[in-house]
Amino acid sequence: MNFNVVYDNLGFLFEASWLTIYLSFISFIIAFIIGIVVGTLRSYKIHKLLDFVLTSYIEIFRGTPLLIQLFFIYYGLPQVGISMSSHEAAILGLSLNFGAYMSEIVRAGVQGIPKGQYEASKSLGMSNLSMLAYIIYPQALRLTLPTLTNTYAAILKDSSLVSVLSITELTRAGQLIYVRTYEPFEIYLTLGVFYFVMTYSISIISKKLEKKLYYNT
Amino acid sequence: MKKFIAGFLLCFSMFSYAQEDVITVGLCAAYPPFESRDAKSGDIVGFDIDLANEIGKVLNKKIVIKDAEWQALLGGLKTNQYDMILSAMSRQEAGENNVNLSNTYYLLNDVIVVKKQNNKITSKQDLKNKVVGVQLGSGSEQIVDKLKGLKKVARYNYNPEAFLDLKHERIDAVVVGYAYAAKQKNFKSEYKIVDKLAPSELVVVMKKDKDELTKQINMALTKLKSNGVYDKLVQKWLEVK
Repeated sequence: MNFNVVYDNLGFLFEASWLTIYLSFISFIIAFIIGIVVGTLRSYKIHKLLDFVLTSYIEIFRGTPLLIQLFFIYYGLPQVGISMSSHEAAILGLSLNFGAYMSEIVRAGVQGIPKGQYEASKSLGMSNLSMLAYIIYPQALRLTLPTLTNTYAAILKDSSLVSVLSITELTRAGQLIYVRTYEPFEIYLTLGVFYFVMTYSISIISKKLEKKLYYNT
Repeated sequence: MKKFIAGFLLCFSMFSYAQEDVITVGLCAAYPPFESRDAKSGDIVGFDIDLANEIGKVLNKKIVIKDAEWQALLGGLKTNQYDMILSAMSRQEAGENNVNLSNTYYLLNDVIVVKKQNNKITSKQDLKNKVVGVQLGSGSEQIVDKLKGLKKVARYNYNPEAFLDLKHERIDAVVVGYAYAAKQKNFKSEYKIVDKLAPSELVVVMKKDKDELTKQINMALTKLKSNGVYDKLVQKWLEVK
């Protein structure tokens, strides 16, 4: 065992972890917004054509590998004149992909609210928007919180795929150290520990949040 | 059950017997003209493949080619997945201390490639504050890492991705082996070579302490160089017309 190769590169690994957290966090926020908008619109089936477009979006992004989507966005789109930086492409790819999953989660949450809640808010004279904001979403959030946490963990882990866009996030940083030192055991074990610590802290936070949400209702 | 074990042992002994006359060569078929998949047949072809087969003829052994990820090549050698690496690998890439190396079989210049319209970069001094693309774990990467004052080194799994980014002007230059650059499709209409960097010595890489094999390979290389076979291969694959 030669963990010196890890120790010597700790600063580099932390820097790369920060980039992993940054990319996955921004992507999560955007995916969440996509999820709320698309998921709500799909729950209420406002217009046939709109519904068709949104369903296609979800099916396409869930039905193709994220890696292919990233390659397509970064290397394919410039062919037709849409060029962006590697970070932009990574965030776009991650948020569109996970936005599709998130939409389904939000839809399940919104549709899981009993009909009586809608009728009650209507009879209180609430507008559609305030009904969503004060009655439906808070309850849906409570229903979907565990799944949302899973999604964040999934984004964090899948962000390792953006290393193919020559972004030095955690996985790429590990590869970089590996090609210099050829110590796969120590390096990949360390990468695993780093990812685990990141996702596990998210689950802890989520459990705390869950408890709080339950006590408050 | 007994029969099964006996059969298993028989297979195993045949397998180990067969190994005597076989040299397994590990390479990463993503580096034309040294090794790549033929666009039509899908077979692995290139200078290194022909050279390996000629070495096999001299040593009277069968050559088996195994394709692997570039970054996994040296690890695979360590775990005996192949007997040697013949993959345009340079002395520096292989790291002299952990492996046995043959004599140099080819001297490959690393060159700076920029877009054809680019008139600002004409030598390696002009790379200051520029973004330079390289293949991760390649000799070119090591050379670029030694250059001072670059804005950023963009590292790609494979060279084609670096060239795509150069094409779309997300990076300023690519550093790559001369033969790779010059043999690329549409090279002259899109890019140009502006400067040379230090040459890297390409070697055959074997596991540490395989001294007998190393000796044989060196012997075969010397023979191929003296009987003209080597020159023919260089002409066939590496000379730029």
